Amino acid sequence: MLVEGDKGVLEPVNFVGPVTSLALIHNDKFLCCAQGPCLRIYDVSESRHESDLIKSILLPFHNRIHGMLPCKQGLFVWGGTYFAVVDVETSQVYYDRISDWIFNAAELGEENKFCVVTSKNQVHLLSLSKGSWEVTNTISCEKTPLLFCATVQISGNEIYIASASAFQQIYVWKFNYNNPPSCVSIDTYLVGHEGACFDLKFSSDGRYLCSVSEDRTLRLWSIESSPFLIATGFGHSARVWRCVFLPNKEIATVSEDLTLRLWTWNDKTLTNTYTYTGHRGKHIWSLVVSSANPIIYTGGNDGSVRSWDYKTRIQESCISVSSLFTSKTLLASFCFVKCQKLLCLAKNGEMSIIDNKGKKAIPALTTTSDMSIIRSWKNSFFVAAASNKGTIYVFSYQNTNLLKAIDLHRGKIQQLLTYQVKERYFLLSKSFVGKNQFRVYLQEFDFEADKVNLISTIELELPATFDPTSLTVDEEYSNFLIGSRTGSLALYNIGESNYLSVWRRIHEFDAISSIHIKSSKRDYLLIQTVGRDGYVNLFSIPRVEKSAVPQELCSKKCCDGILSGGLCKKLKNGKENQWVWGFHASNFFLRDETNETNVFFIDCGGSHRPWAFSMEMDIQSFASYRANQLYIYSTALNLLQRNSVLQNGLHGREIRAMDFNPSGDLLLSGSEDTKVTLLEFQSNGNIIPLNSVKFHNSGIQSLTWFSDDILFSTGGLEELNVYRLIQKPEAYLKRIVHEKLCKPNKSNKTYDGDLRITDISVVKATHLGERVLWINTVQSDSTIKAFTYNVDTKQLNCIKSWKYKTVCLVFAEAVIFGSHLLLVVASTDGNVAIWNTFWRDPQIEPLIIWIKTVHQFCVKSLNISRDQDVLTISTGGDDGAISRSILLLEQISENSVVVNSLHNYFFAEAHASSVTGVLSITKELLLSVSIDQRILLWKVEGDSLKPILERYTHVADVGGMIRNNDFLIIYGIGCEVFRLGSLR
Amino acid sequence: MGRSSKDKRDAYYRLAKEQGWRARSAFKLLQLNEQFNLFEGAKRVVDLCAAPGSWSQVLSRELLKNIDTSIAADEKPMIVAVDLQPMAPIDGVCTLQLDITHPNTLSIILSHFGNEPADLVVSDGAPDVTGLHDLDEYIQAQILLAAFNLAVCVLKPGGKFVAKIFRGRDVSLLYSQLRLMFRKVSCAKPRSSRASSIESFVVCEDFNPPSNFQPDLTKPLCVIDPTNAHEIAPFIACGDLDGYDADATYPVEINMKKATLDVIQPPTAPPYKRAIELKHSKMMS
Repeated sequence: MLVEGDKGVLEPVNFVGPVTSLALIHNDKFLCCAQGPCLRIYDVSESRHESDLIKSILLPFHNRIHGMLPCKQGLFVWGGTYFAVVDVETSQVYYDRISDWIFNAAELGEENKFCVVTSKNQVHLLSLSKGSWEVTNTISCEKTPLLFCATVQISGNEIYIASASAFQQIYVWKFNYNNPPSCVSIDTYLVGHEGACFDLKFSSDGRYLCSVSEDRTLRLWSIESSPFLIATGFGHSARVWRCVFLPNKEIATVSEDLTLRLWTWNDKTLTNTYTYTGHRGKHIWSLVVSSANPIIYTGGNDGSVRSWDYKTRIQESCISVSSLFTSKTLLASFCFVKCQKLLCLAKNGEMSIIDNKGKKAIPALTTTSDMSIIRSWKNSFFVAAASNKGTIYVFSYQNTNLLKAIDLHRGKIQQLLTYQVKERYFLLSKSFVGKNQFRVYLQEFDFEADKVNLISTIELELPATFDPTSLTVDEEYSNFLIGSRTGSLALYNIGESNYLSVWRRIHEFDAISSIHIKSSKRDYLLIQTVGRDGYVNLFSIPRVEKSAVPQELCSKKCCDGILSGGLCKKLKNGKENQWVWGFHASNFFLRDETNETNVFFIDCGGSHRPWAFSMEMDIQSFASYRANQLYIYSTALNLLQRNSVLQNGLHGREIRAMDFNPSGDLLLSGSEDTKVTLLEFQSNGNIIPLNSVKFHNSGIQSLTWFSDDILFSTGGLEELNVYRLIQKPEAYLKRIVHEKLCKPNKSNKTYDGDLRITDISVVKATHLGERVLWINTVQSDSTIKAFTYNVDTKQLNCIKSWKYKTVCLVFAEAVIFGSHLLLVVASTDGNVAIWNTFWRDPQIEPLIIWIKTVHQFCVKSLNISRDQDVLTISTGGDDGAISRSILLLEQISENSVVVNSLHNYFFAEAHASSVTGVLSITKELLLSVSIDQRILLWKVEGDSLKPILERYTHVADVGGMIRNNDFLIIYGIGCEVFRLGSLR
Repeated sequence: MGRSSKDKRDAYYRLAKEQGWRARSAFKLLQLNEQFNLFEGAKRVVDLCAAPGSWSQVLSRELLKNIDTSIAADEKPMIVAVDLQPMAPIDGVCTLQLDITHPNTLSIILSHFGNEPADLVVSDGAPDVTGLHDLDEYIQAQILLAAFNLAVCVLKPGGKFVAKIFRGRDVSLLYSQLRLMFRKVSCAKPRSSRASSIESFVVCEDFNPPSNFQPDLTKPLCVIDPTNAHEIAPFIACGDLDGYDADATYPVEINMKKATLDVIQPPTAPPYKRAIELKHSKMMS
């Protein structure tokens, strides 16, 4: 029996991982979110501006929470063999366990009475009295197959059960719980699924059952009459995990394919009417539907929770162009002067305004020219129009007598760009004058009660091949920026015709759709650009130093398709949010890029048709023109907030590597989802994602943090990436940016699989320069490589490359001993070897100076600690064993280091599974963690290791553990934070 | 998203194609046999959860090797393969499409053995891994126990049982169950199984049921934890250390002629077959 240590030692304080269950309580005012053993409660009531996390309760389960049920006392929760009632107001938890796996539960009519259906196809009646549980009865079904899922529903005094076996059958049975028989026969067999079922749900009236399966279908069954199978729904492209009945003959499902789908059924068909996307990674595990509001909440494998408004649809209206104008004329252009207010301009100067009250003609422009384009200054009464003969008209659409006509261009004006900052109105106009040549003017206006004032007119000198597509003005420093159709950016002073600087390939060779100035300083501008290439980029561009290049701080591919615009606004909570819009195939879309959520799609035929878009926080409008018809779409309700993210996730797949920065307040995590994420680690154990980058093409293998601002990651396909931490206190939270990708050298060999760099070790190479790092990597083809990296020049050179055997190498850690660099390498054959790399002499081949077989199979974890000349190597293996070798290093000559073994500790059956993490705490104490989800603390006693403390972790597929001064983090499927307590 | 290290095809995948095995898992049984001599003296063998049939291929080849054709028919080794999924036929193997938890399965298997008990039961059963680890480990444990329940009904005293096991959270509890019936229980991992996988194989030797044990397939076993015991079976690595490493990456000369081999046995009836057919026929939007 293990001795229980201090209660404060290895106390769990946080878990971030898959959202395994969701529930709504208190008339849908609170959303309960289950992650591992952690229950997070959000206030999602309409009266709150933003959903807030109000409580977090850690349940004493040795299983993750698998299901939740609102009940009179708060919440009934179950996970594996555990169950509990949670009083969400007092955080009191009344829990117990039974011997069987619980699939589902229901509350009986009496208070504190529940029933659960288990893996033995049994129903247990449970009663909570004075804080303790009692199993009052157990009712068995005649059939006891291997079950994948089951569901239960109360109807009067009867309990209805549906259970699905691993062998494609669903059993429906029922009994009276006031007088239950000991064994119940099956009423109905439902046959038709071609794979195992993962969820079953009764309709609220008990007449129907829906099921979802690994055959990728949703099936609807009648349990009253034959034929039992009503309809089958195809559409998901992977296994389907959960289903739920909605009101009005609708069903919602979530799947491994990351979609939430709505279905309607009629007669014998199930139709997939709507599909929501926005989760990332893999798997949506859970969903719950609100009965108070038309909202569905979903939980993903990465720990994110999203809400979806499934009722609000985009309002659509269609108006014939011929009804807008009095004479037979053509539509020239249209724009929104505000949301739901569209101003249409005919070629002959007639104008009409369309809003939610209908259409209304306004006095026409008195002109003899053909009109070509109209644009508005947003949320003002002023618009600019242009003609084919080069005249610009600036006027108020409320009073077209308030007009200024300017003969400026000599030919057709092709484009107008408007920008307003405070009370200054800027207008950029463009006409075509030759091959790749344009005449561009920038004008400034202001508006008085009775007239339009032209402040200035400047003809701009353009850089070569510069075709303007976007405009923004920095009033503080009297600058303006213009983006071009070929991805260039130019900086001007207001009032001057010559550009100060031009930068090419801001969006490669694609158009810059919008420019947003995030921050303006004397020496630089921080700008965010949205490009037609689908990217949102963040740049720091120099204002004064003309020869300096822009620094790309962040580059993010938002979507497939093209981006036509973007908007940054501060929300009420002070955070800035980014929206982008554009086209994908024949659809126009609006996307919340900060939360990576599509707000809506509109099938309008594509970007080549004339279109306009306008967006406010509470309403959005889109208009397009085709076949002599104007189609106007608007969202009357606040979709921006309803289709939103309540909780951000971490990684969609297993976390493979994590590392603290030297001061212990920042974290890096790398995952099989190929992303590297920067995380803030707070003093209470909370983990806050800061930003995420994706520069790998396969899963991350290892991460390491060198000093406070240089980071490295490795992966498959011989990928080695270097990052830098950017900290600009005046503007942003911390973020990482990419600096270098090491590409493999060409060789005569190729690999059918991916060649993985499995680990990396970085030390300073002071003998080569103060800013030079020495990098050692190990690979899956048994190769060890040594690189030098110059931090300033970002130059990476391969100095040495050598082979061990043909096994996969899994760990590398460098130790500087005098003038030597010793490399400790572990491999899948269970060996640990120490190489002398001879890093000061490129000509000398590295040499093994010590080797030991420490495990029968792969070394799964390695930890090095050093005390002067004594090196301690701790390992965990796939054989479930741990080992510790105490070695004495001795330099016997200039080119020779010998290793003497002082002590060897070995525990063959430390864990029941792979030991994927070892951590040396002190000379006498060692921590180990395994895929059996046990954490053990070992103490050196004489010549052996003794376990003195045990803890359980809820992280499945444990990949490793790391620590800072106060906390231990175990990562795998999600991660769990423990307080070290007296082990610190 | 690129392929992850867990998903890549390894050296044994290519070897299986070259040597004609239906799946790379064939090498696991071969390597287990090298260590434990499982096939020695085996005349009646049951392969549970057999599809697609690579373990049955191994059994057929190894047990029928060096058998004199003049031996009487009733002396030849007999192999019965059982799975719920349909399986393409294999020479020397009787394939049954049955539910291993159904009570009738036992009598059908024994009838093929002339009502004689079996010498060896093997099971390479695993669910199509869902990714929700709790459910995966639970289902795999249930499959193992179902196979175990059937094995103790058909094995002769001194017989052997080999089954895939997921070494996750509840693995200790499974060891406790197995140790009740067998004198020797080991946890083995062949070299052809990746270190990145939690898969291992439990090798149970010398079947020795308690005197009061009554075989009953109608009562399935379940994982129970009455004493919080932490049973750990000794670990044994199988296979030649100089053989191929399932985690390693091996080079292929660029100038070598490459031959793409067909899949030996594609999935016979995957559950998503109809969904894919509909998608390909563009019947769905």
